Amino acid sequence: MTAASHSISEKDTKKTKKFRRKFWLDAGMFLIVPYVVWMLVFGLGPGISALVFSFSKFEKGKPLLFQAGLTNFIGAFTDFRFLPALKNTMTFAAIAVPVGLVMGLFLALLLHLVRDKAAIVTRTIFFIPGALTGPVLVMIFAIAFDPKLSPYGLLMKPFGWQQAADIITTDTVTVLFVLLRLFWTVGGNIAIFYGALEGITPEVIEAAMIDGCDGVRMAWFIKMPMLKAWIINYIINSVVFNMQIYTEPALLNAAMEGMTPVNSYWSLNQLGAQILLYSGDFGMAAPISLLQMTVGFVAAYLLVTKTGFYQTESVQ
Amino acid sequence: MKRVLWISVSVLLVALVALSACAQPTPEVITVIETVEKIVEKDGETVTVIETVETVVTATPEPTASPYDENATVEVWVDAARMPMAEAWVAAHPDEAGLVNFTQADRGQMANQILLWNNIDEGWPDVVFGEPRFVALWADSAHDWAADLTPWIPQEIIDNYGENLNQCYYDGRLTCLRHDLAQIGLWYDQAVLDDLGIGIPETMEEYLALAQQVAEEHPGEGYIFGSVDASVEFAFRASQCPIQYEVDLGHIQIFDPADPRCVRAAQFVDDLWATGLFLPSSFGGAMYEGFGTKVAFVPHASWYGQHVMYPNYPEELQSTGQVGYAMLPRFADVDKNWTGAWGGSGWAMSRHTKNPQLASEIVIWMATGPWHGTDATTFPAYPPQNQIWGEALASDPFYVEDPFPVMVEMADLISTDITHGRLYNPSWTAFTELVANPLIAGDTTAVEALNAWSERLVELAGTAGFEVVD
Repeated sequence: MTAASHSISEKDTKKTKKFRRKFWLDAGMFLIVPYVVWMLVFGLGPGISALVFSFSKFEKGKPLLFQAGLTNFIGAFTDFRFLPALKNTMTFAAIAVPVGLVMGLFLALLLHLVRDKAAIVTRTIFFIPGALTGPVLVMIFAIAFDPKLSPYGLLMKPFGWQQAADIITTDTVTVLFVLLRLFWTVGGNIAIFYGALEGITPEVIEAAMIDGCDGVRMAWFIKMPMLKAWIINYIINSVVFNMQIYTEPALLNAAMEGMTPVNSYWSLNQLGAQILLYSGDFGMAAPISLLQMTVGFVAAYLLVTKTGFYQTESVQ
Repeated sequence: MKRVLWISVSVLLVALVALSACAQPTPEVITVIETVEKIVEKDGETVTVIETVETVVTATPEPTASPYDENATVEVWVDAARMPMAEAWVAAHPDEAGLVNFTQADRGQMANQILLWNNIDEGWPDVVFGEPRFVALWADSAHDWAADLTPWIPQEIIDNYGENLNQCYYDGRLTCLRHDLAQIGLWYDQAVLDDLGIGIPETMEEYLALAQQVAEEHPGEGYIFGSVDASVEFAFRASQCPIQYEVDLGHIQIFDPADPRCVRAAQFVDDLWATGLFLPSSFGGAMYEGFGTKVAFVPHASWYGQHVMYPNYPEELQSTGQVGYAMLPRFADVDKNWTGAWGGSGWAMSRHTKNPQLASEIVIWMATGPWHGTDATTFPAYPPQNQIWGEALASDPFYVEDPFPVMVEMADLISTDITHGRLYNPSWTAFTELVANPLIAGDTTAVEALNAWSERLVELAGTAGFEVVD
C-alpha cells in the first residue's frame, strides 16, 4: 500500500468502514470482476440457457420458453442412442481420469527424483506431447494403427492384424481413446505436477533426507501429500474434460472412411450434436449437455466437500 | 455467507432475465409501405382512392410488392476447393463483384447455425455450396432455409439438366442446382482382365460368377473385385432396394428386411465377400497395394478413376491405357442398370435473400457456368458443360477407352428409389456399423444383418421427427 492510500484509510470513519464491509469495496473485488464477467458470459450463461432450453419447445430454431414440460428430458433419455452413449462416455471417463492422473503424477515424481542433464532432456521430451493438439493426434493414431501405413506395421502383422479395422474395433476403441487422451494431455499434466513439486520448500525435503528417507518413500510420504490440492484440482478438471469427449470419435469416424467402429453418436457430446443436427431442436439436445454438466458438478462438489480442498491449516 | 448467497442469487436472476431476452427476440418483420391507387365503388360511383398499404415481405417469388433490393450484398459460402471458382466468378463479373462476399465456411455446421440465425431473424448466407443431403436438412421444416429455385431458374436450364437434377427435388421443391455427379459405374483394369482371361460382365450374376471363378483359379493371389464400403450404393441400388424414401417432410418409408430386392443385394454382398476378392474398403492400404497389378474391378463413383486410382497407380502404368469405366452390371431380373452415387454436390439459395436476382445468377453460374467445361475435376452435372469437359477424357492416356459416354449414360441411371434427404447419411452410417463392419469381422452375414439395419433406420427416423409409413 502506498502512503497516500494509507492516509486515506486513516481518515475512514466507522460508517464508511461499515459500508465497505457491506459491499466488499476492496481491491480483491475489482480484480475478480473480469473473471466473473467471463464466467457469467461463457460458463454460467450457456449453462442457464441450456437449463431454460431444456424446458422449452423449439420451432424453426425459435424457442417457446417453458412450453415443453418434461418432454425434452423424457425424449432425450429414452432415445435409443442415449444408453450406449452414456455407457461409452462413462466407461471412457472412468478409465481416462485415473490413468491420466497416475501417469502424470508418476512421471512428474520420477522426473523430480534426479537433477542432472539427462533429467533436463527427459523433462523436455515428456513435455513435448503437450504441445500437440488433439485433432493432430487423432490423425497420427489413425495412421499408427493401420498396419499398412504404420511404421510399426511389422510388429502388428504377427498378431494377424492386416488393417486398421482389425485393431480399432468396437471393443478396443475406448482404450485407444484413453491412450490418445493420455498422450494429448500428459505433457501438460507432468508440467503442472512438476511445477507443484518445485514449489515444495527445500527445508522439508532436506529434513526428510536427514531422517534417512529414500527416493520412493520421499515421493510417497512427503511429496505426494503436499500435492493433494493439485491432485483434487486435476481430478475435477479431468472429469469435466473427459465427460465431454467429442473430437476423437468424431475425427476417427471421418478418418477411417466408412470403416469406423464408432458411430456418429458414440459419446454424449456427439449425441447432443446429432440430435440437434437432425431434429433441429435445441430443447431436445439440452438435457444431454445438462447431464454432462451435472456429472462434473457432482464430482467437484464431492471432492471439495469430502476432502477439505479449500480448508486452510488454521481452520483445521 | 448469507450475503454471498443473496448476491449470487440476484446475479443469477439478472443473468436469467438477460438470457431470456436473448432467447425470445421480437421477430423482425420486413414490411414495405407503399401507396397504391385503388378504384373503389362509393355510393354507386367509381372513384380513385390513394391508400397506403403495408406489405409483409417474404422471399417467395412474385410477392405482392417487390421486397427485393438489387443492390443488396450477397453472401456466398464455399469450401476450400471451391475458392478458385469464387475467384473465377469475380474475374468474370467485375461489375457485380463489389456486391458479393465469398466466405470459406464449413457447411457441416450450417444446419445448426441456421437455427441460430432463425432465432435472430438475420445472418443467413444467400448462396451455399453443399451436397443434396445437406440441402435437404437446410430445407426441412425445422430449418426452413432453402428457397424453391424453380421461379428463379430459366426453364431451359432445368430442361437441359434432365435427370441430373433428381436429387435436388426435396418435398416437391427444387432446392439446389447440381454442381457435379458421382454416379457409380464399374471401374476395371483391362490388363488384369486380359491376364485373367475374362471380360466385362453385364449382370451382377455374371460378376459374381467371375469372382468365384477367379477365386478358384487363382487362390490367394490377391485379385480384387471391389469393396464392401461402396456396396450400399451399388449393390443395393442396382437391386432397387428402397432403403429409405422420404414421402414428405413428416413421412418416411423404411425398407422391409424381407423385401426380395434387399435380400438379393445382401446375398450378393455375402457371396462376393465369401470369394475373398471383395475388400473391406476402397481406400484402405490393401487396395493401394494391388493397383495396376491386381485390381480387376471396382464399382465406384465417377471421380474414383482420376482421384483415387490414378494417383495410386505405379507411374509406369499411368499412361499405358489400362483403366476403363463400364456400365454397372444390372441384376438379371432388373430392367435397367440402376446405380447410386458416392458424393456429388450442388448450390442452394436462401429464401431470406434480399437480392434473389443476383443470388440466383450466382447459383446458375456456379452450377452451369463455363468453369465446369474447362476447370472441373469431377463430372459436371450440367450436360452442356460436361460435353466440353468430357472431350479431354477421350485423349487421356490413363484410360483404355473414353470413359465419358458411359459416365453420361450412368448419370441418368442414379436411382430415385431412395431420397437424398435427412436420413440419407444416417442410413449409410448405420449400414457401415450394422452390416458392413460385422460382415467384415465375421460376426454375421449381410442377409442376417438386414433386420438390425432396418430396425435402426426406423429408430433414427423417429428421432428425426418422421412418421414411418408403408
